[in-house]
Amino acid sequence: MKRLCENCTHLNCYINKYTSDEWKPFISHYKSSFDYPAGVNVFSAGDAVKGIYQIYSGKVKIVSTLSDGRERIVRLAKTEQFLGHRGFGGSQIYPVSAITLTPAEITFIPIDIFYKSVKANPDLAISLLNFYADDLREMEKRMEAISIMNAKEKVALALMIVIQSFGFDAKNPQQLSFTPSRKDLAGIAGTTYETVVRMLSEFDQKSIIKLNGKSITIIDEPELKRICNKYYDTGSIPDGQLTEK
Amino acid sequence: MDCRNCKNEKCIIRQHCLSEWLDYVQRVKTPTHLYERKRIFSEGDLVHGLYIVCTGKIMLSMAIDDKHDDIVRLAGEGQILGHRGFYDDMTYPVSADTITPSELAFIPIEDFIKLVRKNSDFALFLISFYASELLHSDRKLQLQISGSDREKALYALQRVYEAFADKKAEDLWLELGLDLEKLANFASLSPEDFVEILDEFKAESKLVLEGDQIHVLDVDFFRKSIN
Repeated sequence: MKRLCENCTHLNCYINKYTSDEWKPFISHYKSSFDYPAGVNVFSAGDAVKGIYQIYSGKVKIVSTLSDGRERIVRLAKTEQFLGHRGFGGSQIYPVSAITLTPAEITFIPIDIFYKSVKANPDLAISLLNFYADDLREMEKRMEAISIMNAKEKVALALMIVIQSFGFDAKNPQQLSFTPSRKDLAGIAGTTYETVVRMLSEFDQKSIIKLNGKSITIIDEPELKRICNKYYDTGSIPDGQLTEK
Repeated sequence: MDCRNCKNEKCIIRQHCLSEWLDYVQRVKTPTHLYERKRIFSEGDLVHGLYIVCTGKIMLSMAIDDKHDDIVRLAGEGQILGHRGFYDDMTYPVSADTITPSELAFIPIEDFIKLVRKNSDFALFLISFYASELLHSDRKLQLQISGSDREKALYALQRVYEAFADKKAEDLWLELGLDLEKLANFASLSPEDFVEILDEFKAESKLVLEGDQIHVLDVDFFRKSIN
């Protein structure tokens, strides 16, 4: 079923927030809405860019595959956020893959419609430039940091990123609303599965977190933040940005 | 340089803004002439506007600690500086320094925003430019994690080519502008490793190095897409 932009209650969606009321029915007319189960590709690295995606509901990881075959998660995205904006560079090929972490409802806007909307809605253009600048700044902070952060700090920061990306469970305000798999945490931290398991166990022993099977409860968030704040002010991580040293 | 009859075909303002807005840019911009190795803005400075490189060569760097900088980008004629500061905090996350004597045009932020709002082709160009910059950052990060020395060196040279080369030329001399130590920094390699890889490229007849210039023998080698 197609969801209409003109009736949408997602007030932080860039389309809803920054396009004029006359443009919303136009975008609604051309966009497509898809429902994805968890664990499937929305788009894959190497695909031609045909438009931009917006998450209506659900959680998605943006994955880059390294030359040695390892998977690195460059971003976590949730409701109201764009997917695929990296593809608008020169070659118009997606450099990364987007994979659903949970069942997700995702909207697709064809590239010509998106470009027309940007051209006709200056507020959308300006806000997109801000969004890109933020993303770029975070990428470069990661680069600056990556060579000097140890495994413990990387894993602590990976947990902070999950907190800032997806938040806590509504019923249990200390439990992560979504706990990525240990493999995905390794992909976020830029370390190995074994290191993640070891560090999580260490954090558990020190009562910084509590492991309940697959899910993680954060007992001492300030301490977690302090561990990675040695090098970086994690308070400045915007939603969904992965920034580690 | 007067925007109304500027001959710089690489200038992004000239390329993507309507002609009536070139007159506006001419009125609001502040031209600046700087010698080589002069600071344009520093990491942490408040963003008051953006710069266009009319002539010259610029390097953008980010402090790793008190003693070390990481060169994150090179910018040549017609390119923009300061766009990384265009986010909520409005501070420059990098420092910019001239490599060679340069002429810059400073455009105040409120005029830059007006320019984006009124020139939709310019807005689309900037979106594509930012996306390309993100690709470069992603790629550099990937190389840092798992790239070979050869891949890192080649990528740095490709970026020098992108920033400074006359892309229409088939047989070209590429003025590096940077000494080998800085180029090695840009490639995230030690100077020794970088020189070793340059020797490999020379042996493979990809390039000839003379002073601070590269004679590119295999242009396709440098044009290779970042993807």
